Amino acid sequence: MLYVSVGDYTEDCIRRTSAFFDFNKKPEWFEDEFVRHTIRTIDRSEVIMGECIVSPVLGAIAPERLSSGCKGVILLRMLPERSIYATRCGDNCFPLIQELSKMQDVKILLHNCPKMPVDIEATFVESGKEVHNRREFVEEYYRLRHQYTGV
Amino acid sequence: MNLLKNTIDLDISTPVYKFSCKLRRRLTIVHGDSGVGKSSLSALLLARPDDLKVECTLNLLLATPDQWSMTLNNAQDSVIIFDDMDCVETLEFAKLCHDTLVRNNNYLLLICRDEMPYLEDIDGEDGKRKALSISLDEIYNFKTDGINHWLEHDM
Repeated sequence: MLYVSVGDYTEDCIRRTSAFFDFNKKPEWFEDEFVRHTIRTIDRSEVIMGECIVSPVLGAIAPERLSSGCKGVILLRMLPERSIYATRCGDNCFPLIQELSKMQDVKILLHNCPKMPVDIEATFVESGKEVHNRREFVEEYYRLRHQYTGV
Repeated sequence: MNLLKNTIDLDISTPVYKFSCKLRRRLTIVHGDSGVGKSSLSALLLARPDDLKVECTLNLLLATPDQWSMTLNNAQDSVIIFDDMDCVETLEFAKLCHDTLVRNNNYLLLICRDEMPYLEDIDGEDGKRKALSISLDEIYNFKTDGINHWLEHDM
């Protein structure tokens, strides 16, 4: 299940996903098939061996050169107990986040309303409301977010 | 507050990374998919490799998490890039933008998806509400073909 928060940052929320990933990644993360799928889908790159990744644009790269969004999704997969500030993720990350949420619980914090997959299913933490599509997601996001920003 | 000024052309290039854009207003907002090279732009400006070429009529600066407010206060005649920084959501950032952008002749390129509610609704010390107008025309998507990078409007 996908759990979405829209309020203030919490202690368990990883805000600076790129820096956190760079200093906390583990070699075995890149043996995980979903992680490889994420790197292939978002950054169009392939894990060759260990932490060696090949990008069609950059050539052989270390994981530090992955995009922030890619790193965020990998953190969601490998650290399910943590929440990720998913505003750092582009719209192209959310189909993968949706896919991951069908495999395990996923917790994200959003301070923007991304273009979610049309059939997104999520639970908003602040209200407990379950949404079952993009329209419901957008409506609930802005209803809750207004309480925090006044706009 | 008049945010209109001259258009600033910005070109950044190395043999394997090229970016160009026009900054027509003081605030330009950029977002886009992950993996298109936005953070590579910041990494280039941080590292300043020998083969980096920057063509801009103003200075080009990269804001950092610990020095952004000092940069906004003190930099002059500059294009300042903010890449995925938490501060853009804050009232302090909005107030500094209001107070310094025109005074210091600075332009901001904000690479972020965060909502910035304070930019258009700032409580002034005189009790009046201030605002910076963000033009929809200056909100862009970051695009790439692998080597070349540019900005396009959301359709």
